[in-house]
Amino acid sequence: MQEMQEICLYRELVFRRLLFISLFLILCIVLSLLNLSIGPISIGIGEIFHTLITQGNDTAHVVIWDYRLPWTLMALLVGGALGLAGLEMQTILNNPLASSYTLGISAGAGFGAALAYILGIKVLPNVPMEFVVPINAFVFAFLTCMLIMLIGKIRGFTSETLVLGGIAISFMFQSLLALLEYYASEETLQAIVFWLFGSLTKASLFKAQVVFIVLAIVATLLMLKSWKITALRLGDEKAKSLGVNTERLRIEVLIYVSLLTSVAICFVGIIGFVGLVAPHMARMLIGEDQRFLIVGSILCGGVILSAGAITSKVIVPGAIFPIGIITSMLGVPFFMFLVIRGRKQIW
Amino acid sequence: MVELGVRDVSFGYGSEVVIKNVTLNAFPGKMVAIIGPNGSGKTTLLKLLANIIKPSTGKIMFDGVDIRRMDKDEITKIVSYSPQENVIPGILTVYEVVLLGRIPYLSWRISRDDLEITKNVLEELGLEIYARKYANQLSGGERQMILIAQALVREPKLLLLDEPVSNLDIRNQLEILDLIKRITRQKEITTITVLHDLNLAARYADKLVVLNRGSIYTCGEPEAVLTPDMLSSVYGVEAKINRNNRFVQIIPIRPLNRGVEALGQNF
Amino acid sequence: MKSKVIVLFFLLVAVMLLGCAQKPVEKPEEAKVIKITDLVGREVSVKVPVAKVVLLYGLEDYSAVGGKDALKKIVGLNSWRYKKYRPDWWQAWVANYPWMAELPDVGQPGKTFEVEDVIKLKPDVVIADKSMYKYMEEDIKRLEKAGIPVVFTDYFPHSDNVTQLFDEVNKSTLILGKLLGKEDRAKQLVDFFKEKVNKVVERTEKVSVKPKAVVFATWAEWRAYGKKGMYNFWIEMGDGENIAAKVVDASSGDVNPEFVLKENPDVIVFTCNNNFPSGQRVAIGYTVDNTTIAKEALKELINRPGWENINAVKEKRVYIIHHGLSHGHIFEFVCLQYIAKWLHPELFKDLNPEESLKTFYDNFIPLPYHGVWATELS
Repeated sequence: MQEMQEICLYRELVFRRLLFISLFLILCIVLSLLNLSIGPISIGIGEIFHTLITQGNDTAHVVIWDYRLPWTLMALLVGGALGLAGLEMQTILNNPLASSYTLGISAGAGFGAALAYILGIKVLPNVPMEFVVPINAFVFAFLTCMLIMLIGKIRGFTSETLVLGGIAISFMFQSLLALLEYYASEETLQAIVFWLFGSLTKASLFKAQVVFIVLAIVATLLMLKSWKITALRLGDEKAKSLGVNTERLRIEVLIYVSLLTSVAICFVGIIGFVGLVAPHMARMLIGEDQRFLIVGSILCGGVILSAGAITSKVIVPGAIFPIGIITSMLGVPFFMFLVIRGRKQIW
Repeated sequence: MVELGVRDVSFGYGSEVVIKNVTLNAFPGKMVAIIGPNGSGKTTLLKLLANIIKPSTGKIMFDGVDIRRMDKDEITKIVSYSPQENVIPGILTVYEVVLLGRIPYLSWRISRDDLEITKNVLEELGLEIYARKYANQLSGGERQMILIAQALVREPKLLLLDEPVSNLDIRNQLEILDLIKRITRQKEITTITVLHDLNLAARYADKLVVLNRGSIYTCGEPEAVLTPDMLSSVYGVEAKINRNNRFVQIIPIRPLNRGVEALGQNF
Repeated sequence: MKSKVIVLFFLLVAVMLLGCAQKPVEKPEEAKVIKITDLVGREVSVKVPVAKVVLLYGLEDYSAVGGKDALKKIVGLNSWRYKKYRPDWWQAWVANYPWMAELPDVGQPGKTFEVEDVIKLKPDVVIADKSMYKYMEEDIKRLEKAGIPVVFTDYFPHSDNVTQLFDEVNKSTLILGKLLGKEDRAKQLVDFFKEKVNKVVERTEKVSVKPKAVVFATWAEWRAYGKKGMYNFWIEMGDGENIAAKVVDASSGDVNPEFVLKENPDVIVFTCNNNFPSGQRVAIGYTVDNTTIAKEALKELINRPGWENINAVKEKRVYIIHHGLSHGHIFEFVCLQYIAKWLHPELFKDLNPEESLKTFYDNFIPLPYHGVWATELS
């Protein structure tokens, strides 16, 4: 009897988590369907499904396959990638306010993109124009991560070193970016600003596939480490005492996160606050057990960015409101809330 | 059951030597307390035993086997180390914190064994009622109990505790140390704990190790080790030892002049 | 430094010599102090005609009013703005007047403007654009203390009212005339401008069906010019319907790609400067010799899903135009002509915007006409 009770307790914990994960999953599906069905051209839900399973060249097919589906999938996947990347950054840096900004990854990506726009510097030759900017952004985002890694190698992988290193790198890239902007022509400058703002209008099915593959691989790899990452939340000493090689784990997770963040932001530009808010929401509802939190953060990020994507379409039907502004409007109050409530409640 | 052997172990950060030629033995079912003034290397010694840091010279043996020849996972399964810090930052339930102690055994699906052992340990420590609570909402004493539960849930053969009762009230101190001693005996664990409170050390330890500036000053049974002489040369304190009661009792009188102490050591 | 001094010295000598040579002709033009109400509503006293000018904006408009002589009056120039925003025009000026490259660059207000440099140059007047006013309020005080008047023109009026809008442009031209002692020529320009605009507006009054049009920027795929954008005025005056104005209130904003499919525009216009972003291509502008690159760029620009069914694409009514024509200058009527012709090709069969621009250059701008300013998908 007693034994049953204990197992019940564990089941109860798992059940609660699965419940919230299912809830997020349902929300993802509902929001994605909404995303697919909202647009200036009205297409009935039945026709949408029909269009999705058939091939054709009519307006409905073009609208669904070429515009709405990439947009919807990109919102879901980039949101998920940013959510997961944010979660693991917060975990390995032991800092509730960590995000791709904190580590300077966004600034690095922005600099890479600007370099492509202004100087026409391609890091890879012979790529189509559409991918020059993303590839540059990706390479620089990833280089930034390697730079942080280098700092970690020299000074040790404590959260303080990484956060301070990230801030330093961030400032460095921001000033380099400012320098580039100073020499940029008017239109190039506008193109850079537009890129930095982030936009889902750059979505395509191919890009969505790339993000999906990277997200799936990284999530699986992190899943295999889920207990060790959870142990990090007990504090470094504790984790070490449990036999976790915290330094190696940090490096490993940092590489995964770098890859994920770089891929997510290189296609859509910098969309702020999703990576900050999603993991916190998931953590509050699901708890720290990474086996569930990894999935929860991905889904929660997907929910947030999908909701943002819908909002950006419906504020003025026919126009696209900048999604970065929407996520910031959601994120900034949440950020303030985190700062004011402090660690006790949420972290 | 594991017999711990430390042979001539030294360790330093850079040129600064923290542990100097330490040799000691510890046996199953016995509780060893490491005492010594601040900065004498107690925590470092414990970390060396926990295989978190590696000795620069000398060797550490479990049952006569050099741990450098052992698999890392194997060591993790034998040793439980509970660091001094008892803050639990994450939003984890007590149940999860304790379950995490079984990390070397955990996989994506949790086995019935893991659940059962966790249950048993919680019961044994009287923590079932807290199982659903969040660990960071508990008091210091309760948290300490949970971390001990976490250390025990791995069913260790060597239990290393760094100041398990600091910052606890007198009742909690007694309860926790009673528990540790009971489990040490019952499960024949080799327990090594750092303790600051000399009276508690005298009362619970089967053997005391006095660490001074990284070296073992002396070791042995509490009655033999705790002498006014030791206290004056290691701690720089003039003290009276009261042996009339059931327990050895140290009554500090006053700190000795540091100049005199230094002078004494130069001679 | 030394070379600059020498150049300046020679310039001064040249100006003086020229002045001497022409003295008998322009004798009646004696210096007098007049009051000018500029385009930010400030009343400024200036001794006219001015001899030394620091020009922060509108070299084209300034030279259209003042001619070649006026160029030599410039002692300081905001060349930063040219290099950054209109690189092709800058190349043209420097190619024809190499000494312009040596002019002190006083910088762009709000960015690189150095009031000290201006004071050192001791100009008779500083000519700036209204959009710079908010960055210059402190500088104006210092300049006035040094006895240097600042006059603001406005070639970027942000008004919903077309009449008022043209009034501002014309007033600016007349002020330049007063400052340079070329009031007749300024009036001539204003009349020319009015005539060109009216010619288009009068004809479109007969139009019954307004074609749908949209103007896209080239630096972001779906960035269209909205209600407050200058292109909206040109489309409205050319009797078309700017579809983006329905959903974009600001001067520009992103439209939903589907919206374009749904609205099915009859005319699509892309606008860009000489500095085409991201492609590192120079497609259009003063320095371009033929339309090949622009036509290629157009082909790439229309390569978007579903666009093959859009009227504009089907009928090849897709165009590209130099952004510098659209607003900010005295020859912006050329943009109106282009757009009117693109909207109503039958109605404006006889209208040749390129010819108008060439005529304008030949008559007013001291530069030879050159370049590709607009072209269509072929």
